Parts: sequence; C-alpha cells; structure tokens
Amino acid sequence: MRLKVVLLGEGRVGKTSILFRYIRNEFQEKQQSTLQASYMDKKIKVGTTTAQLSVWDTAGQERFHALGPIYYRDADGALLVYDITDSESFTKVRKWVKELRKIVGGDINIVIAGNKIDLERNRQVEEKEVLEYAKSVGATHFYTSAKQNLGLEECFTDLATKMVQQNLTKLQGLAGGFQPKGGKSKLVVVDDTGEGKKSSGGGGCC
Amino acid sequence: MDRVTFLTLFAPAQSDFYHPSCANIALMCGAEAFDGLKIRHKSNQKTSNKKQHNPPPYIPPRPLPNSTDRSYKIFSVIMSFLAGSANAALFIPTWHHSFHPLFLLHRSLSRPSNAALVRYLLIRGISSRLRLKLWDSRLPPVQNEKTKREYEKTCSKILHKTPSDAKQNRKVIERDVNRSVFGSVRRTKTDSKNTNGVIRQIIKSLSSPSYDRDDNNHPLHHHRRDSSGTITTIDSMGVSSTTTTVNKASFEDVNDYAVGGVFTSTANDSTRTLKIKSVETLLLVGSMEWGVGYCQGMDYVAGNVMRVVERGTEEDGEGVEITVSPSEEIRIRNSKSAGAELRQVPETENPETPPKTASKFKTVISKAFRFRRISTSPSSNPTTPDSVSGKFSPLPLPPTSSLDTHTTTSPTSAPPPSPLSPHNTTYITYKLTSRLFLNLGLSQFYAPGLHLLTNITSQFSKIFEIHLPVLSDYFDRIGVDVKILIIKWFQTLFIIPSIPTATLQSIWDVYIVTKRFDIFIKFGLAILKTCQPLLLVANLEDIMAWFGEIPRKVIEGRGCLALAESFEF
Repeated sequence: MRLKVVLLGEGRVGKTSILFRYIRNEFQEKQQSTLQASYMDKKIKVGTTTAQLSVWDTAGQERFHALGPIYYRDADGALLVYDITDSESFTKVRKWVKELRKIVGGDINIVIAGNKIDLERNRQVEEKEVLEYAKSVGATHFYTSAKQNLGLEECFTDLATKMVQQNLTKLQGLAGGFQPKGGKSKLVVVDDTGEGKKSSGGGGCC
Repeated sequence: MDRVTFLTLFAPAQSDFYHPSCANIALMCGAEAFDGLKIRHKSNQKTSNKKQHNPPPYIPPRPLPNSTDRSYKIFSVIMSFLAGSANAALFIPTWHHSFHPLFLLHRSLSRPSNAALVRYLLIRGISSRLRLKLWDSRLPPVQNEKTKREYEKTCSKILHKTPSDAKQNRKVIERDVNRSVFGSVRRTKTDSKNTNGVIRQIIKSLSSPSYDRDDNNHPLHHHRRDSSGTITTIDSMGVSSTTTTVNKASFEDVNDYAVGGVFTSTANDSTRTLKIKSVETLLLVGSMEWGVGYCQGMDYVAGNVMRVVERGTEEDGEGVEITVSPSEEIRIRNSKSAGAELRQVPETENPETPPKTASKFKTVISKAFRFRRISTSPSSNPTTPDSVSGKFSPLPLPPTSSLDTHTTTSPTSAPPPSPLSPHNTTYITYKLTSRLFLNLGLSQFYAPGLHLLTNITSQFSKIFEIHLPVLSDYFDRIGVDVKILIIKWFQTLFIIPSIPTATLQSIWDVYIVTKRFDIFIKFGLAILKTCQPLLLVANLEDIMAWFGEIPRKVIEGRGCLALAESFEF
C-alpha cells in the first residue's frame, strides 16, 4: 500500500529536518532553505499491513503557498508543522487546514506537529490553544524535535495508522460491492483481490 | 508569427501582458482570447480580410508562437551569398573585431527574437567579458536608477538601519545567504545514495578537514598558477585537479564546473564579504519601489549576476568559457598567463620599481583605453544605432598581437584603475540585477502569488506532453506530475548546481537577448529528451533523485543547447 504524505508549514519551522531525521536519522544544524519538493520513501508496519510512506517535503516560504495544490493534490495525509517558538507559524497552520479541507475535502488525514520542543523555554504558542484547535478540526497533535529526535516516530505512526485504516475501509467498501462475503480476517488480501474483482466484474457486465 | 498564443505573456516587460491577472485570463481563455488584443501579422490580416465571407479554418491553438524572424532570413541570404552557407556567421574566424559575428549581427539586436544571434549564443557562446557588455547593453537603464554615490548611501543606510517593512525580508535573506555554500557545490536535498559521480567526489573533497574556504593562500582557492606552471583549476568552486579528475579540464573546456551554490568567490574576496555583498544587493533590489520583496530563487539570480560581473571584470580574461578558433585560443592563453603574473604584482611590488619602458607604458595606455571603451554604459549615452555599434565593435581583447607580446613581457606593470575594477562589482551587480527585474519582468516572476511561475510550469507540462509523449505517459503511469519535478528549474531559472556554468550562461544570454522565457522551456525539454531512455526505465525514487541532481554528463558540451535550439513551438 502506497501512501502519500505532504509536509506543510511555514518556512524555517523544520520540515526538511523532520524528514531527514525520520527517514535517514540525520540532522543538519544549518539546513538550506528548500526550493524543490524532495521526496523520500519509508516502509512502515501498521498492524498486519506494510505500507510504504512516500513523504514529500515542500518549500515553506509564504510565496510558495500558491504552489501547494500540485503537492497535496492526491495526498493521503498531511503533516502540518509549526514552530513552538513562533506564533506566526501556528497561524499558518490554521490557513493550511482551511485550504486542505476546502480543496481536498475531508478525506485527507491531518496531523499537527509542534516542532522544536527542545526550545521549550522560548515557547510562544499556548498549549491549550493548540490542543483545542487540533480537536476542533479533527487532527492529532504531537510535540516533536528533529534535533533531539523526539516524537517523530509516534507522529508518523499515528498518521500512517489513520491513513491505512481509511484506505482499508475504502477498499473494503469497494470489495464489498463485488464480493458480498468478504473475508474480514485478511485485509491485505482483500486489498489485492478487490481491485482484480472490480475490473473483472466490470468486464462481465458488458 | 501567425498567431498570438499563450506565450505572448512572456513578451517584453513593457507590454501589459506581463500583468499576472492578464496572464491568468489568457491561460483560462486560451489563445483565442488574445487574438483581438494583439496586432496580427500584416499578411495574416490581409488574408483574413479577403476570406471574410468564409468561416476561418480552424487552427488548433499552439502553446508558443513560431519563431520566424525576417531579419534572420535577410541575414542568411546575404551570408549564403558570401560564404555559401546559411550558418556562415557561426564560423567566421575573429581575425578582426569588425568581423566579429556579434558585430555583424548587432543591427538586428533590437528585434525581440533574433534567431541568428540566438543560434550564435547557443552554439558557440561568448566570452565572459563580452557577456557583461552584452548584458549591459541589452538591459536598458531603469527609471530612477541610483548613481553610484546614491547607491552607496542607501547601502549603508539599509545595512545599519533596516526599515521596518524590510526587516522580515532581511531576516530571510540573511538566512538563505548564510546557509548557501559560497563558492562550492551545494549539496542537494535529494542526493541519491548511489551517486559515485563527480558531485559526490567534489563534496567529499570539500568537506575534508584540510580545506579552509577563507584561506586565500590555499592552493585550492580561486584560480592560481602554481610554481610548476600547471594551472590548478580556476573554478570558484575551488576544487583542484589533484583531488578530483574533474577539473583537469583547463580553461579551454566549455564545461566549467563553477556552479556553486549561488555565489562565486574571487581571490580578493573572502566568503564573508561576499555574503555581505549579496545581502546588500538582494535587500536593495527587494526594497525597490515596485515591491518585489524577497522570494527564494532571487538569491540565485543575484548570485548569477554577481558571477557574470566578476567574471566580466576580471582583468586576465580568466573566465573565458568557450572553445574558439585556434587563433583566439592562443590569445586567451597569452592573456591568461599575463594575467596570472599581473595578479602577483601587488604582493611583490615595492616603491622602487624600475622605470617603465615605453612599451610597458603603451600597454598600460591601451589597457586603460580598453576598459574605458567597455565601460561606456547605455545610461551615459542614449542608444542610437551608432552608439550601439560603438559599443559592440571592440573585442574583449584588442586583436593586435602586439599587446599580447607586450603584456607577457612586462609582468611588473600594475593594472590601471578601471571603472569596472573588482571593487565596483557590487554596484554593477546591483545595477544589472535591478534592470533584470524591471526590464525582463523578473519582478513579476517573483511577485507574491507566483502567477507567472505557475503559468510557465503548466506551459511546460503541456509542451512536454506534445513533444515527448512517451515520457509523459510514463510519468503519468508512475504517478508523478512533471510540474513538481521541474519547478526548481524554473524557480531558479536553471541556476542549479547540476548545470555547467558555460551552458547556464549561454541560456541566460539568450534569455536576455530575446527577453522571453521560451529558452528555458526549450532547454528543459532538451534535457528531458536527452535523458528519455534513462528515465523510461527508472522508478519514482530514482527519478526524484535524478531531478534533484542531474548528471552533469547529460548537459556537458553544446549538444543539449543545440537540441534546445532545434525545438519549435
């Protein structure tokens, strides 16, 4: 199962660092500003399902907001990152949520990550406000630190679990249409056969 | 030009079509919307008048206009009469400056698209000194351009007391500039693990602990000639031929690997001053009245301009990047060796220098004269045809062989103070950058909203579909949008580490001459076409890695440029 995740958020909140830390366990103090979206793969196990996460990193500068749609168009999940020491970056998260809900719809799974938790003493974003907001838009919230490798595994695992579940229910729905006695125990197999049945069923009709 | 189409948007900046809202309308309504707005070609109008009672035949909208240029045809007729070949202009040896093909072509320079000149620039290329002149003459001065004194005043003002609205910009600019690696190859984010190629080697050699970028005496630093007489490579990237085999290529090679992150360094400038300089330029350009602000990618453009200016003002013609006729090659060689010796003068010079001989004096005079001629900027004299020809006639180096011999024999003569001397580079960089942004519409390109950038990428993907259908299908199948892959190319206008400087500058020359973005699209197509066989068997991850760091071998030489030239929309 291939799942597409986009990293969105304001510039310099640490999207690229998160990506590098999570996938390669590397961290660079002076990360260059991202220009081009880069892409990395990671296999992840959610329960019995193995999913391949393709994580897309995007440029965060305000002006590149306009280019957002080409990145998140067919994404299954979005990780919205903000910097806990920068209240502006959190306002940007609100904007992203609105935009995603408006354009992609309710299908996309959203996780909000407050990055740079290692700089807790400089915190500018109220925890209460964030948690309330996350709850109101149906997103999970995590604190992360790419520098100290905190919270990233949990964050991505949570997102992956959500996406896998969503995908499976979708596929089940599809498979259910053509195969009334769908096996419940082996979901992954249903995934494969479901697609096959769909095409053969279509052929049979005509 | 029979039909005005999408890319009329990319017509010279003076036209209203540059306006982003206009561009959007055009994109939505298609080519037809523009027909009423723009004047058609005369012959076309006549035919349409005649056939008024008949419904006009359906012509499918084309993404780009045909580039047919009448002046080129006339020119080619004359040339074919003279030399029996339409391409004769490209092969005229440069015996004398009045025979220089550029001089022959300058008459039609004012035309927006000049096929012959474009051909020349792409296939043969020009020297870096000529490039600076070309840029200077092709970019007319902007309104309210600051004089040098004003510039210095505002500079110090901005650096010491940034106005509140520019503060945010300054923060971002400084961050970007600080993080970019000066004078060396940027490590791209998607560098694949399995590249054992050139770039990896370079990165390795640069990250070795013995390398200190700020050390001017370091053998790896910018162009130096060591005692054995072999030229350790010139690249501003600062990689010597001992660590990598890459830069064994000497100055004759078209492929100069000095792409670096953004900025070049010369022996005179430390990384720090360069950083300060670039922050200055960007701040000033960003804070100009039309309010571009700052956008990532602008630092690349400013860096490239700085590179052009520095190369162009170098006294020894070090930055010559073209392979040329043997005679010219010898001249470059001579001037190069002379320059290398000249450079050492300030270090060894003492007050009791021996009195200069007459021949030395002559050299100084002729050198000074040369620089004065070069420095006649269009701002001082209005561009009448005469002044243009005056500007173009002198070659970067006077063709008389006497100068060369003199310079080589008189290594102790100090270079005369010239208006284009290195300490002026910041001002010239600022001037050219601001002109670029105003006259070539880059200010629109980077303006908030990035309409033009979005448009150009969607243009590209459409043209890509038409010209390379197989690859386009393949990309569709593996589920990748070509727009995502190429956005960096356009955002930095191809100023990316993977592209050799010579190639990059040729494209930019064409861009500045034609004032259109066509060339970037063409070049992008050429790269993809060259690599099509390779890309067709790659998986998504490999493709991403490939786009992150295009193998240099693909773009080496003039092959890709020639291919780019052959595309017609």
